[in-house]
Amino acid sequence: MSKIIGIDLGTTFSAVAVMEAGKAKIIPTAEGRNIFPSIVEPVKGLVGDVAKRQMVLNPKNTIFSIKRLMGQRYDSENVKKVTKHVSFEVVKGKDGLADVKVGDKVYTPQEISAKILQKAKADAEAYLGEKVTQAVITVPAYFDDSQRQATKQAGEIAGLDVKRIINEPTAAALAYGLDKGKNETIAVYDLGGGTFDVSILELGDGVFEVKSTNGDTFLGGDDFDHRIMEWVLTEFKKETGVDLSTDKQALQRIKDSAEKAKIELSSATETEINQPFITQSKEGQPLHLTMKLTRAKLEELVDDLIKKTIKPCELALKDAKLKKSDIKEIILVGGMTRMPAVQAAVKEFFGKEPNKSVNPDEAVAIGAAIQGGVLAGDVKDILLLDVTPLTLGVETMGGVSTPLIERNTTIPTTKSQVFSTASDSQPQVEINILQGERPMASDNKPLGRFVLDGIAPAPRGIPQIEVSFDLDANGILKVSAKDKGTGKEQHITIQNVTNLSDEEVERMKAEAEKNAEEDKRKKDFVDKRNEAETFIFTTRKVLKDAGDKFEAKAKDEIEDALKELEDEAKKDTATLDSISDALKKASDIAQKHGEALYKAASESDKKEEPKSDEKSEEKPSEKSDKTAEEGEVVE
Amino acid sequence: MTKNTKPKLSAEFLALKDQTSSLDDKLKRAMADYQNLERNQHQSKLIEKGKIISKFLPLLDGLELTHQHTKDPVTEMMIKEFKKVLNELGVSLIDSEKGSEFDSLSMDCVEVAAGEKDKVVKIIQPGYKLGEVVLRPARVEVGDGQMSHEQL
Repeated sequence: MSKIIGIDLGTTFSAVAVMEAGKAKIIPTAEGRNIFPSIVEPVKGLVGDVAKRQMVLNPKNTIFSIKRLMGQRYDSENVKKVTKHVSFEVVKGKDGLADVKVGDKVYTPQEISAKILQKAKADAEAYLGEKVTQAVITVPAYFDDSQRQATKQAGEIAGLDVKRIINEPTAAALAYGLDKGKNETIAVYDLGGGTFDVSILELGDGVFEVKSTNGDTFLGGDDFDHRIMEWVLTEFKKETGVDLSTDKQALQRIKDSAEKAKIELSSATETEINQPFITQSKEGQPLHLTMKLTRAKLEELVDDLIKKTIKPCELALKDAKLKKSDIKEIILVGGMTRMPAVQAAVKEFFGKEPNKSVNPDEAVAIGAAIQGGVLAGDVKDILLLDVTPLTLGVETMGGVSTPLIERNTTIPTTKSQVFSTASDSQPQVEINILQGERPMASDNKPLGRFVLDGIAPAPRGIPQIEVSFDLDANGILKVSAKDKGTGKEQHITIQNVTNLSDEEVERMKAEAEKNAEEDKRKKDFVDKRNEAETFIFTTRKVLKDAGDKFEAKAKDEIEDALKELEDEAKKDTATLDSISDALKKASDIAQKHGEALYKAASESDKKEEPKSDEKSEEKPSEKSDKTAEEGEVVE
Repeated sequence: MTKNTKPKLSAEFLALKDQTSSLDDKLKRAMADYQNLERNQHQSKLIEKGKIISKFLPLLDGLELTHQHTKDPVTEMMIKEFKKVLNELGVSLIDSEKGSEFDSLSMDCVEVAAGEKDKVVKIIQPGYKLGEVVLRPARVEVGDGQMSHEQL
């Protein structure tokens, strides 16, 4: 079954989301934004930002806030109010309903909304790479039957099978994850671009009941913008004597600035409004608009608008026959709820910090997508993937624990790495499987061990032993080791490696943390000793290969230094510093005896260390997460 | 004996068949989700890159305005360097020369002025794109089809 997308068909902005791998995600628009303006130019078929950008050029053909006309009678007070606010023509259509007229063509609000939904569909198809035919669309809780019907028709015109029309507050509650188990009463405070809604919802056993709803269909971010615009116009007139309220171009630009200033004042306490060459004086001189707006001033300008949202909250509570204290959670929806003064007002009224953990612009679409997921059967049966609680690895040279599968890796997973031998003609390797976060093998929990024998005689570092860890979804770990030279293989299966008690995991993690410093010191020491041994080995090899190319004196000097280093590394009293010093001394002497020798040593060094790249090329990976990292040496 | 085991076996068989097809479905979904994720990751990386670059564009505007007024050679040099960096990042200027056809895909009409209809009369602020993604539309003045005031 194909995906069911969730669409928040908003008055000023719309958004689309979809369930992906058990999570609801906002689908970015073709323009790379998470929401798009609900603006339509029906003649050229432009929707969203593209339509908004030509609004100035084409004000009569550009339709916005169409949601306000959905299923509304032309003669209604609402429509009269809308007509006053818009630049396009609203006409009386079939059955006395309100339609819009663009050029000679009359469009029903359903047809205009359908264009918005078509864009939502097209963006979703581009994102998902498949056809989308089904959707869940949200509507305000107070929408009556005819308005819901109109919304459904809009979906059908757009070629969508509308699986369900759900209430916006219900969608928001879903997005906030409030459907999980708890039986509680919540309030959804939704102050969007053009409308304000407050809903009281009762949640119980995954069922949402809208107990009451209230609001103001003509209160939203737009009004806040208008307040700022009015202020700008008044101030400008005071300063210059020019009235811009009839100048459409100027109004557009002031509207842009007002919107920007409002958004900026949610984080800043002061902002500037700058619009150069906004108009000209009576004498024909250009006039610029430059003003400072403080957050305090903005709050003063919109104070009554914020207060206007409180009455509906009271009424909604009253209708639901509830007290403020019955509300367990208040969730915020709509971009305007980012305004600090709005959050403060909500907190003051309900006496509780509102929950704002979900992006208020996206919450409704996210919730619609979750509903879509439930309908498609995606959500009911989310495949919960486990992670491995502790790191799994093997013991390598010097008692170091080398991780193969890191802690918190999602399982099932397979990891492999190529190791080699630690001494010449080593006939076998022992694979010691470890669990835990500590860098030294002895501090981690041994899960099991096995021996891979029959390794063909070869100098150390040459044999390639591929060790693979395969951890399945049930926590069963299969470890295998394969000699890539002889093809000989050994393996072991360990049950329940993920099945640790929480205490056990916590204890092991705590130990790792507590001993981190000491462990690091220990590991550094072993690493240094390994480095010294490798140096001794490779340098001796070079000396041997070089034959009599070097003076006997030089050879003796180097051999003495190597011997000294070897003895130091073997001492029980050796420290990181003592080995480090001896190593430096030996390496200085080796270098002193000629660049040629040094170069040869370095090349030989390279030859010694099996390189990961070669390994992965040799064996084209069957599983993409298979890795063959730097070669290490197994003791 | 056979009478009892047969229906039992076929019921088991049907249950297993159901389970297999449901598992098969889940696997396909998971693989599809993963593939989509991989594909979209490229796109979302581009979008994130664009968002960051966009934040720097007003600085370039500021430099360009400064240069227009001061003709300062150092500023000009900085503009050049700035544009070089943008270019390296894959950003290009949106073609919105005077006289070109207004296109709301890449341009934002902020004013209408006397001039050839639907043609750009003046660039108010240059626009930029990252590959084919519009970072910021060019803000332009568009002709309304009326003759200019000088011609009247």
